[in-house]
Amino acid sequence: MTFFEREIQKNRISYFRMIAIAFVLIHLMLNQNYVFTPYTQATNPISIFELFSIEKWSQATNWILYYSLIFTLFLSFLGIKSRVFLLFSTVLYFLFMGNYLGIAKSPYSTSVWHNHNMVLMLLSVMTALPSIDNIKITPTGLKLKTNLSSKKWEEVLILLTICSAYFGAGYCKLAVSGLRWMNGYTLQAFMLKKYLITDNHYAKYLVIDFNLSLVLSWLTILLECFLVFGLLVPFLRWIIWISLFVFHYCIFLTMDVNFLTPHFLICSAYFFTLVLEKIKTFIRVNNPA
Amino acid sequence: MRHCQNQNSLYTSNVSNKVTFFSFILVFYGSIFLRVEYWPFTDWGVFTYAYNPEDTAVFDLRLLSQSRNSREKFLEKIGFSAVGFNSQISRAFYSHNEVEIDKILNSIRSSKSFKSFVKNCPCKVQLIRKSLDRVEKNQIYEHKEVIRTYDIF
Repeated sequence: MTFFEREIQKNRISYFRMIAIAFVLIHLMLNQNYVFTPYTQATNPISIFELFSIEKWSQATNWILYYSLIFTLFLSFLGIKSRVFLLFSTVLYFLFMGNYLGIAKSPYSTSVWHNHNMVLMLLSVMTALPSIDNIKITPTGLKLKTNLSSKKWEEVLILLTICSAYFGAGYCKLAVSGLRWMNGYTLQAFMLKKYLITDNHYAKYLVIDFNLSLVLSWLTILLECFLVFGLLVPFLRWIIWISLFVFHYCIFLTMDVNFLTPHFLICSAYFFTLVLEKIKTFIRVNNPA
Repeated sequence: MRHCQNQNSLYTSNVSNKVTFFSFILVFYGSIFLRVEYWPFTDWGVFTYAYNPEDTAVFDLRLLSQSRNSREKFLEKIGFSAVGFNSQISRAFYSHNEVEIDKILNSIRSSKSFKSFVKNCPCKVQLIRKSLDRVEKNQIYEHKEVIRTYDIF
């Protein structure tokens, strides 16, 4: 059996769809500031909006986009023509979040903050996965729609998409700065800057202790460039996932930068899928009737 | 005939799956190697540059008043982001754009929150540049350089 024919747990990809979309929906509904913040702060259009001369639309239009996005995501979550509504969700998220990210964009650069990219990447990937639509939620419970089994290549594609964000960050650090990024002084400088601006006590420890700074610099690059691909290896993936959580939590403590939501949250949907499968198996084994 | 049709359909499905898989990998990883930095691709430029703590400096506003203790980091108390302030002033300072520095400081000084904070309280507001002086006995000692001073009456 080739890689593209190998099967995994039958409905894993569908369960991933439901959990990932649930996380995105909860995050969007708890953060309605995404709708009105672009209209209370200065914004600079993102590059692709400028390229197509897309001007900032009205706040009323933004609310329509927001509710349309919530609606299409909800239908995808339920399993009603998931691939179609995931496609609509991807386009709507691209537009809606592109509008919001204009507030974080400097007029002097093309780049924007990268916390939301994983959501868009995973929505677009899910649109293309054949077994994403296997299960739908009905008033009587979960119902199987097709006999398509989840395939190994679908799972690997999801995991490689998650890995790409970390690999990209690590690769670019090395491409721009080489091994100097790992000399300990760079991380110290980032922490010093944070301490001088905000008196962050955790950042202070990294400034004071050079050896700690050096070790964490190496661990950061090793995790981002190499270890993250351990997500593809079943006996390593839980260790790597926990390491990524610790990594993001440390960034949150020292740099006051939150990658836990929505970025890490949607990455974690895969692991919650595995937990759900284990729970279902446990229940089936203990309640054979 | 049906067997052939099934084989063809399986073949087409396999080819389509391969195209899907490799297309996404090409787009996501290709954007990394090509350093595509705009939405919907990610901002690879953040935190990539190597720095040295001895070359690191930040900008802050300091309030000096006879009736109050001298106060740094009061930007957040008047509703401004210290991180954003530092970012804007740094850009203007290192590009020698005095006009832009004045514009940023005037916008803060003319804000309602600032006027309310310094109400009836003669004071001075100073734009200071802070950098590392030394680390000694688990303490960080800062070097402060006054860039601008404004008298508030």
